[in-house]
This record gives sequence, C-alpha cells and structure tokens, in this order.
Amino acid sequence: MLSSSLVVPMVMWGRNAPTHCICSILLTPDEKHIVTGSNDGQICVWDMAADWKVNPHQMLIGHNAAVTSLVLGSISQDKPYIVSSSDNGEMCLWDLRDGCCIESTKSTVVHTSIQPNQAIYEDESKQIRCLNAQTLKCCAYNQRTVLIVCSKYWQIYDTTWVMGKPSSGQSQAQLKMSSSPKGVYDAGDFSLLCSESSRRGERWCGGEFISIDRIVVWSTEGKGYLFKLPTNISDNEDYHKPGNPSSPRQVGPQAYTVLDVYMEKSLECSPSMIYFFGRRDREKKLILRGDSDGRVVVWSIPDVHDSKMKLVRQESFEKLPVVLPKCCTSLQEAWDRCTPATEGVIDQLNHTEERQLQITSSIYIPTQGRLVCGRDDGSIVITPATVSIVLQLLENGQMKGS
Amino acid sequence: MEEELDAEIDVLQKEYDWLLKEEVHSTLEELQVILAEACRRFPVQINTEDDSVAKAEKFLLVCPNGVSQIKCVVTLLADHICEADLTLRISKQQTTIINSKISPEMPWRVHQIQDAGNHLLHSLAKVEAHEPDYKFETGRQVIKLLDSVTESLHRGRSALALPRKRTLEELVKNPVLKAFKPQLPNDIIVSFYVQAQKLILAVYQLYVNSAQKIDIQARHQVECSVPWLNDVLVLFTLALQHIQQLRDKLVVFQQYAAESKFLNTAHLDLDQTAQSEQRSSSVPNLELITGHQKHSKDLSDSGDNLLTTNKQHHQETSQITKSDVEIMLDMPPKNFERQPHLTHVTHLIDL
Repeated sequence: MLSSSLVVPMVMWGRNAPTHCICSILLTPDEKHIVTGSNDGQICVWDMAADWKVNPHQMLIGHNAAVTSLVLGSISQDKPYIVSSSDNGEMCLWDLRDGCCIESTKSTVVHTSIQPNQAIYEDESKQIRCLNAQTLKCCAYNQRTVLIVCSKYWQIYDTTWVMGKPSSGQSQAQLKMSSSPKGVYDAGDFSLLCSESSRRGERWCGGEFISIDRIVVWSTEGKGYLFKLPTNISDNEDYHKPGNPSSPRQVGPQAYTVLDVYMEKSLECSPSMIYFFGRRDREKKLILRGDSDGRVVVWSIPDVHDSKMKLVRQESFEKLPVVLPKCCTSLQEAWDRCTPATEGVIDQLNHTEERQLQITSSIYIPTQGRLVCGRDDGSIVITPATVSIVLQLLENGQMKGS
Repeated sequence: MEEELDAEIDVLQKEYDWLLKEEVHSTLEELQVILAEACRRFPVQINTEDDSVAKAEKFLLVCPNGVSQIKCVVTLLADHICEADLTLRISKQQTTIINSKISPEMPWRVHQIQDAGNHLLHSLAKVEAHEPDYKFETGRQVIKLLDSVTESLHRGRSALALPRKRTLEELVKNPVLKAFKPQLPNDIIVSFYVQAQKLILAVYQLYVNSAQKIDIQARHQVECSVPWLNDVLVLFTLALQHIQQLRDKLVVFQQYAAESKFLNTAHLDLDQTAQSEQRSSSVPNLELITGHQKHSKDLSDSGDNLLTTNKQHHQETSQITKSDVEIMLDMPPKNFERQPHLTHVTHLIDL
C-alpha cells in the first residue's frame, strides 16, 4: 500500500449469506434498485431488472444499530443518493452508484421516519381515537379522505369542509402527528367514514390509497389486503352531522384480493413493507416487502375491474383470490446461485475427510496476524490470516489446518 | 445408551413445545399485567381508554445533607412542573436573596417523563401484539419479540434513570428558563431533571473565566423523592427480569438445537418437529414435566450456572425483593418458583 493511512476493507463472504433481518425497505424512483436496511445495521442494495429478477448488488456497511429508515437523498435522477438513519442516532448519506458514504453524522435523537421535502403545519385540530397509530396517509386522488392505520384497526376519515362553516382558506388537508399517541389533524369536519379491525393473530402495520375508493393495507404477517371502500360514502350528508362521529355504517369496506406469498417457514418478526407508485413509462403500483430471512418480495397490485370484483366481495377472507408476488428472493438464494460457491476463510477450516465440523469459537490476534478457530471436536486451528486470504484469492487453494 | 438418549431427546422436545405453547403466553400475560400497572401509575395520560385526569402533587425539594441556600417547592402535574417557588441565597460580595416562580401558564416540561411513558406504551403494544392463542413456531421468533420489548423497556428505564448530560451552552440557552418570573439573574441558571426516583433541581452560578468564556463557579442541588417514579422503575425492572427468565429458558433450547446438529446423535431439527408436534397433540405435556422435576433437582447446580451466566440483568435487578413485587401487584408468588424443569438440559449437553 502506498499510503499507510489508507485501509481497504475486504470481505470474504463464505458459503452462508450474512443474516439480514430487514427492518426498512426502499425502491428508487427509477425502479432499478431496492434498498433494504437490516437489524444489524447493514444496508443491502439489490438490482431489479425489467423482468422482475432481483439480485443483491452491494452491501453498505456503516451503521452500528438497526436501520430505522431509508429515504431518497436527492430528487434529481442523476444523483442516486439515499439517506439512512439508525437506531442509535447515526445518519448516513450514501451514493448508490459506488456505495460510498458521502456524509455521516450522529445525533442524540433517533429518527424513526424521514420524509423528503414536506412542509408540515397545523391549522386546526381535533382529537380522535387512534391508539398506536402506525401510518397516516392522505388520499392523493381526492385530497380529502385520510387513512389511519392503527395496529388493531384502520379507519378512513373525511376532511371535507362542511357547507356553511367558515373556512380558513385551506382547501387541502394538512396533517400533523403529535408526539402523543393521538394524532392532531387539521380538518373542518373529521368524520369517521369506515373502519376495519385486524384479523385474529395479525396486526395492521401500514396502508395506502391505491385509487379514490380502494386501499391496500398490510399486516404483521407480511400479507397485503386490498379493500374497496363503500361507494359514495363521502357524499353522504349523514356523515357530516356534528357530534355524531360514530354513526352506524351500513356497508363496511370489503376486501377483494390478498397479496400473499406461500412460505414453509413462518416469519420471525414482522416484515417491513412499503407501497411504491411509479410513473416512469407507465403507472406501476407495487408493494415491496423485506423480511427476517433477508428475503425481498415484490407484488404488483392488480387492477381489478369493478364488475369482476363483485363476485368475490361477499366471500370470506380465506376464499379471496390470492395474488402471488412478481419476485421473491433471499440473500441465501443469491448466495446459492453463485458458481463457483463463494468460499470464506472459515469455510476452509471446518471440514475434514469424514464430516463437517462446526467452528465453535474464533479470535483474531492482530499482533501476529493469526486467526485461531476452535472446532467442535476439540481441535484448534491456528492459521496466518493474510496467507489464507491470499491463497483464497489467488489460487483458490485449500488450507489444511492441523 | 442410545435408547436412553432418544427418550431424553423426546422429553426435551416435548418440553420445548410446552415452553412455546404455554410458558411464553403466560409470561407475556404477566408482562402485560406488569406493564399495564406501570402505565396506571404513570400520571401522564398515556392511555386513551382511561380518561382520568392526572393529579398534581406538591413536593419540597431539600438538600440531602441538611443546610441549603436553596429552597424550592414544586407542583408536579404529570410530566410538567406547573408551579414552583424558588428562593436562592447566593453569597458573592454580599448575600443576596433571589425569589422566582413558575406559574401554570408557562410550565417546565420534564421530557424524561414523557419519553419514559412513550417507551412504556411502545413495549406494552409489542407485548399485546399476539393473541393468547397465537402459535409461536420457533424459539427464535419469541426471542426476537422479547428482544424488541427489552429494547423499549431499557430505553424507558434509562430515560428516567440516566438523565442526558447537557453541555453548559445547552443549559444557558435553555428556552424553558424563561418560565421563571421574575427572570433569574444572568449569572444563575437552573435545571430540573429526573434521576431514578428523584426529582432534582440543579442551580449553577456562572462567571466569566480568564479566557473570556462562561464557566461554572458553583453548583448546588436540591432534590426530593417522587413515590410513583420509584414504583414505575421497579415495575420496569420487574418486567425486564421476567423477560430475561423466559429468554434464558429459550436460549437453552436454542443452544441445544445448535449442538444437536453436530452431535450426530439425533437428526432432529427442533423447530421443525415442534411444528408437527403442535398440530398433533393439543394436550400440554404437564405430566411429563412434573415427573421430571425429581431428575432435574439433582442437577440443579449445573443448571443454575448455565442460567445465571447468561446476561447482565441479573445483577441489576437483584435489589428488588420478591415481597416488594407481590405487594405492588397482588400477584401470587408462584411465578417465581416455576422453572426447575429446565435444568437437565445441561446434563444432556454434557454427555
């Protein structure tokens, strides 16, 4: 090395993919990269091809705690920047082209969610009951209905101004989440239009409007449910009666499709899911999920025509048509696809002629540059670390420990 | 030998199933009770179901070692100090007496209390996330859940127990200082904070040092103990203790599952068999477990070692006595006696 201060880190991955329990996920607007943040603090960038093939592309290592949120760092297309924040207050700005960390900072406060360019201010407020609110979304199609997803139910509120009520000149709903569990909302009339409880064994964890009268809501089990809202609810005058926020609903929202992926293994913790609306060549509505196995699942939300939907709307959840994902791949699968298999330093040390040995402990002694591994049959292998790496890289040879 | 081992593995499997099916839920229920109790004691209105109004409490802050130049009476309402009457006797060239007040219109917010309340609610939500009949399929799933609850609880507890160190600049520029009417002199700054069960008022006397920078000449503090803060902290700790106990049990099985892979004695993947077992037998294996207690008692020494070396919380939590907790929660003491059946696991590993 020319400069002594330059350190080039290198990772020998080995046969097993690193654990990657995904807790945040992001799709870039060009629909080419999926970015996932894990509980261990690593960020993985995946390439998504036009035919939905997804492959891990690079691993961004820098955070020391779970990555709580990922967000675009720049609106311009030629600067593919993302900002990540972690559970210990670290924030990093990354360049996706080369995986460089451009800037990093650490603060005493922990960001749980970041939104780019959004001015938020409060005009009027009204308290509503929404314990453990997870998400608050404003319908982009009519700008007056609001979806609030709480863990045990989701609700649709109407923010239309009531006729005759003095309006303060705001035609569009502005929302503000307060630090308390209750949300504070700017609204002329904040009437509850409809609400749906979670299924047994599941909790809602997020949702979004996919059209003026349809929403997608996803649960802790990693499934997405598409709901059709009762028609004309917002035009019904009864809902705007003051002092009657919980007037009985005749027709509730009805689910019409489930986004599911059939897996043998159950999830270890609730996955991270997002909705993506892309308009690059044509409108694309996607749901992305990243789960505890380091698995990325992408669904495309189907456009179900009203006439077709009526057939299934009355049926129970189990009989709903299921939409399978466009792609579903995990880090380990990508590792397995590698030929020749990626060999790590430890992988050379854990097999003898008869059987696979388990490495039970390891330590690196920097002063001697040696790697020491203890194996489950009681033997200890001491190997010069750099030599074994060099061997691995240059000759792909096998080290025989003794 | 082989048969004996197989039988042992069989029993182990059943115990693991029982642990996931019964013990996990009963611990979660206990946790729910503990955390709900902590929420109830929290005077901040953090629960929408309960619209009760927080009660204001009056405290006299005193110097722990007697004589004091500071006299302060505060009224604590939930997370803010809504009234305070402060009298300072500062001796410079001559002794001056400064009198200042906080009035309800401009309260002093103690953010630590709000933070702790939020973290507490967060952990309660996580504990309540699964219905009592939810089937946990792997130990790892439960451990992940427990870890995230532990994280929230730790944050909540340290929000109260470990106040954030502020720099002098932060203290001087603290906008809340304006709450004091009449305004405090320029060379005096004060700060209210919570440390464990105590509400503390720190008074700093400032001067301009030789480098023309503001520096601290003297620091005085007065404090008082807030009873409900103590209760909440005890409940936080108790909840952490419960989680740790369950986690330790699960970890034992996890370790065994990992070891069994290369012991070559059994080709069982604990997690997989757990699923099929759960479906086939709905009757809990209680009989088998009580039958085993005899066996495990002989080995309880080695078992204890394994359980206690595991995590740091044991030391931290030791100051709470059993009776304390029973009084607070009206809980039957059985919860603390129930774990001997685990100990023979180590025996098997030692084989």
